[in-house]
Amino acid sequence: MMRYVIVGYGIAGVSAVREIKHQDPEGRVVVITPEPLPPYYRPLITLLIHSPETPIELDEEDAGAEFFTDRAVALRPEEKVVVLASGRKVHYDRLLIATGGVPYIPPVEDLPSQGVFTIRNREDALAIGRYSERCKSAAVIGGGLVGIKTAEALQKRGLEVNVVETMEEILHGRLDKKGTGIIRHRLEEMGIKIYTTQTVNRVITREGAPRELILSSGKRIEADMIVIATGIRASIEWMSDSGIKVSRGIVVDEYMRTTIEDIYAAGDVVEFPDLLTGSSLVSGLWINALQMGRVAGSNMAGGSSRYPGALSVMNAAEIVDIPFISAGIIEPSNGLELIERQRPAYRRFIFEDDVLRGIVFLENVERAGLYINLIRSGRRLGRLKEKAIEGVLSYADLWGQDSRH
Amino acid sequence: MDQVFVRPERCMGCRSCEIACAVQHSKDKTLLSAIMQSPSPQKRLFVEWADGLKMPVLCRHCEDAPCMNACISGCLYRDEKGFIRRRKERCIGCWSCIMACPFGVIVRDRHKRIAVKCDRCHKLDVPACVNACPTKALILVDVDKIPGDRRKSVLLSINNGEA
Repeated sequence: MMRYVIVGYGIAGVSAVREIKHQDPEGRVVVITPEPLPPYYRPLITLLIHSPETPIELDEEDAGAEFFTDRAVALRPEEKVVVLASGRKVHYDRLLIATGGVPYIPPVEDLPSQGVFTIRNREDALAIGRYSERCKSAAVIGGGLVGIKTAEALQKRGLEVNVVETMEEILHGRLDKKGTGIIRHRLEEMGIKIYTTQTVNRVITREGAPRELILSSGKRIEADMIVIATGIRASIEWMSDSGIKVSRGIVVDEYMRTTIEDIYAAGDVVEFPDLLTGSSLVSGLWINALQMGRVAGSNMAGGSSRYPGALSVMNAAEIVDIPFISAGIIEPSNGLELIERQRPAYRRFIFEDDVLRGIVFLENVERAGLYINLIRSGRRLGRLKEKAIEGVLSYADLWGQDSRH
Repeated sequence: MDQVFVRPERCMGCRSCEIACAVQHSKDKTLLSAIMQSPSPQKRLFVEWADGLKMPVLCRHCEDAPCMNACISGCLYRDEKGFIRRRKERCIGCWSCIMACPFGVIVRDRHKRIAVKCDRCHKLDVPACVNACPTKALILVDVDKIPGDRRKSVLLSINNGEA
């Protein structure tokens, strides 16, 4: 009987277990996770800051696995063993590394031990919500999607919220400049203060908790609490002396195999090439992790499925009541054509001749999936390019082409 | 499982299916009250015009449904009949499903700020759109009842509007 060990039980681990149990119901599955069960929809955790009762649990009835609530601290491929924090050694026949990401913490002077949070897990979000009850103001360091959602949530709790971002714009890399500008404007209208191109030089504390932040510009902002949301990096330290090839994340092939036999990896912990540019990509996207986990699980159980790859930019969200979807290449470079439409809502298209390479849709996000499918397929649009830009392209146009060719 | 088939050759573009869909998803499910309802009930399928072609575009309730895979809130699920449906109260309006659907048939309810999609009229034997279509451009086919060896040719002839 095959013994499968899954390290990490985010969506990559969850979907791998589902697939393994589906293909090899007799196989024994052991899951190692430091987080309490049940697994949950990680993208929802910022909602817990202001509404701790929000249901975020994943519907995993009996997963048919054995669970160790523990942390993996070492990997010894020569013995086929994972070592846990408790000292326990877990033997595997096939191993999946799905340990996801850990928050990156930028160097900040005098960061106190109290009132400073990162946000990655359910417990982090709940702790932020609880602590915010005694605060009047907050600083969120990092203006990415998680940082901005955190800022919105803290404002809903009635705090004065400041966002500090190193880059020129918030939501860097997720939207183009105009798009982030529109969202920034709305955030500021709602009273969230945003400081871009700035870092935190120092934190002034009182009784061991934050009181004020001094920014690189010299500006001082009040903050009774700090949330660090400067992104995540792959959680790979624990297995760093295993001999598995890593760079920004664990290097895998399209079967989600690492460079060591019988060891697979999936989710936010891996890096793989971007579909369009071929550049290396560590994804933080739910659907990518789900698909990678499924491919890994299938192959661990003897299948041979391939992961088709992903776009490094692919986002859907709504911030301050502005829906947006972006995908593919969102900034034009050599040989790419930029087309923008302001009405009825802001839309941006990046074309290479008549092939769609990227989109940004604000407010009116409908049919974005149809367009993203065109980006992924690299299909030549010919006369349909005009329809695409005017927003009247439909599946009927593509259906017609399919049946005629 | 019953599947809705679209036969573009038969479609006149009359939009009867769209109206029937909106009425079916209105409060009282009659045309008159649907017209009076505010905000208006939303349709979940779309009659589209392409070069020399008209057809209703609607949810396929895909086998490996991209919308359900992309859903980050536990809203979309597959029901016991195989239809992809919503647990409305769990939709947070993140639009991941709209990002994922290659047919472009999931839309926003701008008032409730949640996603709206075809529920295949799960309480009806025949979906409202199929029932309303005067030319049988939309038909219901129980694919499992077509013998496996003939399935492809039968489905192709249906698709060509012949059956």
